[in-house]
Amino acid sequence: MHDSTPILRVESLVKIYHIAQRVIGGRTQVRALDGVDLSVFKGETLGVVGESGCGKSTLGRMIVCLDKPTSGRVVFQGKDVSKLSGETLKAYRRQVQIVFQDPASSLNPRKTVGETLVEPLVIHKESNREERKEKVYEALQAVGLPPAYTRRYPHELSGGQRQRVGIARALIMAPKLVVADEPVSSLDVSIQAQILNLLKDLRDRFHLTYLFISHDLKVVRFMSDRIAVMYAGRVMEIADRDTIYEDPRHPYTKLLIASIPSLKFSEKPPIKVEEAYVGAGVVKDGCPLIGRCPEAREVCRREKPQLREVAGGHWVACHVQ
Amino acid sequence: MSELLEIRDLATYFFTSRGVVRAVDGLDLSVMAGEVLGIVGESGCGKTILALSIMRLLPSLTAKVVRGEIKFDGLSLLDMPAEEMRKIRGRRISMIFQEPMTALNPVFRIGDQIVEAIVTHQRISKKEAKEMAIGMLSRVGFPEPEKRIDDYPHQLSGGMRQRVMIAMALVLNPELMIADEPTTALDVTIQAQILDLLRELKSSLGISIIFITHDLGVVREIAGRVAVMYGGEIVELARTEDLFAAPLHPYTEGLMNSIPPFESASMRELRLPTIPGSVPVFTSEVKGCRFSDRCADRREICTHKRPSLMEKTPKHSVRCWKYA
Repeated sequence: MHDSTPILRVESLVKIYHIAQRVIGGRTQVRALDGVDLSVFKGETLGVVGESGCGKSTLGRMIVCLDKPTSGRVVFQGKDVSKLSGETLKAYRRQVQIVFQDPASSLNPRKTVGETLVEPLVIHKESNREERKEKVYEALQAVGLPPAYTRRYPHELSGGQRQRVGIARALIMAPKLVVADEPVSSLDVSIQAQILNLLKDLRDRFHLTYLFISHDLKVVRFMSDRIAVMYAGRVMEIADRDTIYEDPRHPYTKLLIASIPSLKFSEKPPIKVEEAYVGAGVVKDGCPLIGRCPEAREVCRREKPQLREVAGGHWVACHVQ
Repeated sequence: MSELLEIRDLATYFFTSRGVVRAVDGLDLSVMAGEVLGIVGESGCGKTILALSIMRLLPSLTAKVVRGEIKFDGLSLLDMPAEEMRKIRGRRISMIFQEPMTALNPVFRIGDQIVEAIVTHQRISKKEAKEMAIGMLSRVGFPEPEKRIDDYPHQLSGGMRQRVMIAMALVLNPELMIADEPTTALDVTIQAQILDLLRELKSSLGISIIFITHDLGVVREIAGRVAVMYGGEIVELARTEDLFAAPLHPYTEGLMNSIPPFESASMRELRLPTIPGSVPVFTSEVKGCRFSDRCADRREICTHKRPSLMEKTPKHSVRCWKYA
């Protein structure tokens, strides 16, 4: 399925945003990423799952260099990407692409599909005019759109078709790693299934590696080989797909899985977890889950739990474990 | 159980510059006293327009109920003067929406908004109304309501805002609540809490709920009966356990298959069965079945004759020629 060389490593990644508080006039810090470590192996799909504000999109943006980390490193094939600029950054972006959640706002409404798709080829001075045209048709065909769609504008497409264009744009530079940030969350269920199948087909056909970001636990399970669970800017648990769902160790992972609305009739224990008043990323010391966790102890208040390996390839950040 | 709400042949059209959009077209539905009826469908199927038609909250310039009747406890909602309807809306039928942030007024304190809802319908003092509001907030699991009743919506989390909406919707003890995607904007753990709360309130207050959602998993957790909508009409109606045990309509089946399964020995290789195409917009009269051009099971009759909603097994109806 995948070999053991990490194509991408994220090391102690921290991102602090300073947010202006208009009423008071001061600024607050939000630690969107609070020390994230993970590896993505060549050929695998690493799912990143978590609720809103957990930092999963920030992680994706750091990886594709849409924003600079406050500290820590993103290492792609042995090179620290936060040090890249100019031509080397451009070369990196050929290899690492992103698909966004909302294709309606991530496509330029004034450009036709053809113009949108040819742009990266022009920027990267890829081949001549005729070859570029050929590549655009190939990319469209790969995502299941007819060649005539090059002349259409985004508003003339359905949501699913727009997301196909978003995927074609990511693929046209023949990247090695694709960050897919909630690529199906704005789509209807029946369209979602089409796009998920397409992503899997493209993965096999072009030997892609995915970082697949989603809040939907069913979708993440369908897509991923390994899964990282994030909360408050930290990775709480990381393991093989089936281990996460069948043997979750972190109380937060257990809570997430118990919360999935089920299609099956099964008796579920009632979930007793408090809703946090404060947003994520403001806890300085201790476990960010404190106050919501039914198993919290004294040590959880004092010390941030670090990821520890509890079984082969199964890492958990929890004092109680 | 007696019928609380009865909808017969409802049709709501939008009159746009591009033509007439038949958002709801020939819909029959009953809601029993004390039940949770789920309405499930994808965007554009008409589920929200159905809710707004019942509440008479349609955008008045573009949308119109062109035929049909809606009877609530024997009263004809569509024929009633606007003033009469205002006495029912919020008092006997209430509604909660997907986005509690946009449904609440950002410049008023949450307590004042609930109090306004109460004094609009009941002749009581503001002080009494405030006590009612605190009681209801506490009832919906809102912590320290005495202190936080003066908070503004932006000071609350999404789940807490939705609890405020639910408190506002239930404080006057209505007989029917329409919940339009009430958990869609919430995180999955918060969604589970709100579903728990609605279940608990339903059984303790004996209220009827129309629960509108696109999420089959959610509807299965909350509803006793489910109506599946497609193209402005109901294509299948059944008790929840029957629907999930044996869906009859090809669309329902397709929807269920589109959801990633939880278990598979070869997840990496697995592909989902899909429904081809996307939800169309119906601007002209459709002769045949509205799902026919996407249906794998299409027959000759499907393209030119509209199937009716027929009872296949007791309490399980389907609109499909396959079962005729």
